Amino acid sequence: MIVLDRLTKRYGPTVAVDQLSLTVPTGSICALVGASGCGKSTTLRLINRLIEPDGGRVLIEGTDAASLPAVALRRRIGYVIQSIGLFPHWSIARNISTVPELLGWTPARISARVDELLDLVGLDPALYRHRRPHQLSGGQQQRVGVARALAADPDLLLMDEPFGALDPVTRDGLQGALIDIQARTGKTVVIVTHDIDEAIRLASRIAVLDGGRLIQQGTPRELLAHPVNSFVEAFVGGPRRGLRLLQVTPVGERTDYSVDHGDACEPIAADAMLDAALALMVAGGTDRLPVRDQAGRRGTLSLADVVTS
Amino acid sequence: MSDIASGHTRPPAGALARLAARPAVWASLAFAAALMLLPYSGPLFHALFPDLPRPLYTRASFLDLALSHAGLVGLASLVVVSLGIAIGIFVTRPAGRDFAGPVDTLTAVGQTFPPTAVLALAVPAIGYGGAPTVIALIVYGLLPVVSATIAGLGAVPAAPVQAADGIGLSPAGRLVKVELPLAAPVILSGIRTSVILNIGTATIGSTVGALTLGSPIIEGLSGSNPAYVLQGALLVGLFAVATDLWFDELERALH
Repeated sequence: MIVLDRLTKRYGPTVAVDQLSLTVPTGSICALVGASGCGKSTTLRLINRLIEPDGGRVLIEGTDAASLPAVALRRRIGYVIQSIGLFPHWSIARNISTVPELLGWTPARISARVDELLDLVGLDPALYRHRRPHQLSGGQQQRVGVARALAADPDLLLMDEPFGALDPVTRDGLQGALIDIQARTGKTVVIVTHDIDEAIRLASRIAVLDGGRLIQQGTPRELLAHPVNSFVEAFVGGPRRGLRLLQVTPVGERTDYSVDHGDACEPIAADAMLDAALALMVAGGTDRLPVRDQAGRRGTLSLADVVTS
Repeated sequence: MSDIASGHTRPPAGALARLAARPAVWASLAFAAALMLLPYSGPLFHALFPDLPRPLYTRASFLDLALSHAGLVGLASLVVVSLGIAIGIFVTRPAGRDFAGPVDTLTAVGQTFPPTAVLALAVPAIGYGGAPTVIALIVYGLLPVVSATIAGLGAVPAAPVQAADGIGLSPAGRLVKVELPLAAPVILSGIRTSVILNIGTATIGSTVGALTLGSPIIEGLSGSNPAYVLQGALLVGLFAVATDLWFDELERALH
């Protein structure tokens, strides 16, 4: 569990981060979102002490981050940045083994770990181990960036707009990879993004920042359903907020299980989201869909139930 | 014609092509050949300068002159490289950033200050010979290395440096593993400039009694013997060109 406790950072008269308190449960993905200059990146850099706070503390699994040497602390925390920053003069394998080498792992253990991580991020070790960063595409480079961050098996991964510089298709692939990696490794992830769709897709909790202050935090659904003020409402989508709400509401919640619609078409899974159901309705020219949940129970989803809860 | 050529001459042509691609080897061979053959070139210089009674420099052997010359430049360059890189690193660290301006001025002054003046000032303090020459070469050669180190470190892309900090390299680790290797090509070009400059500049060491390839030049100038000047200049020129071409190979190997 990561606890930010009244964290404050000032630059001259400007308060970049203002009394920010936030708890990130172990094994969850927390997104810090907000406009440029809202303090989200500063907050992230306060966690691994690339910046020292002027007030407040960071507790990582109960240990005050300030009580550890900064360099040792950073070796225990994965860090991924938008500009990736692979070391251009080293092979992919050596890039990934940077931190394990610093920690004095044996060559055999490092080598095995490099292969394991390349597999994890979806790059064939035999093909990519000995390549140089410039021989890889941007998306592949960031996969290596993620592998490097995970190399020493840190419990916490910090990501500063990691997919911000990638094209939409590549970004989509990497977001999927991150969800998969997080599910398989159970890492705690704090990700900074200005892309609300990315936050909705990746995060189990979203914290909205403005002017260095925490405005609202909660699950994506809570934020979309009950934004605390007009700022959050505008940020989570304004008029498109309703559409995003469909992305985070499962079909099962709106299904009438007393009506079996039969097998007119392939039933949709109850744990799919409403946006997918709506897309099927539009594509099929129908206002009703058969639903089947994981237990095999059948029901019906009607358009009226999609739009009204 | 091409099929005959391909049958017979391809292997030696390949070897020749490889050698031709290494002008540093050629220039070094030319320099060595000049050193070996010059002592036997008396008749040639007699023919070129019939008015001179002794047209071939014989006060010291050309090989001794070349070795001494190389030793002085080598010693000065060793100091220049270690001191220059150290200064360049210091003024680009947080602790030394305030010194960047003064150091820049100082090294620039060092290079605009004529080496002959350094010699003139150094001789009364430490006497004649190689020592004042080495000092003059150090003062003169520092600027290119210091400014190349500063420029090279300054041009290291921000992203790897930021990543190095973020994943937990210490400041020293970041410098040695990331910054210096990435700045190396620029630093090397500064070293190249400095060494080549000093191979030429070292010749004036002979005015204060140092043994260099400048000795025939200085003696030729004072004794109105253009043949000596030509012999010294030819050797210094070949030495500088050969060294420069080796730096060229080194830079290419680095890329």
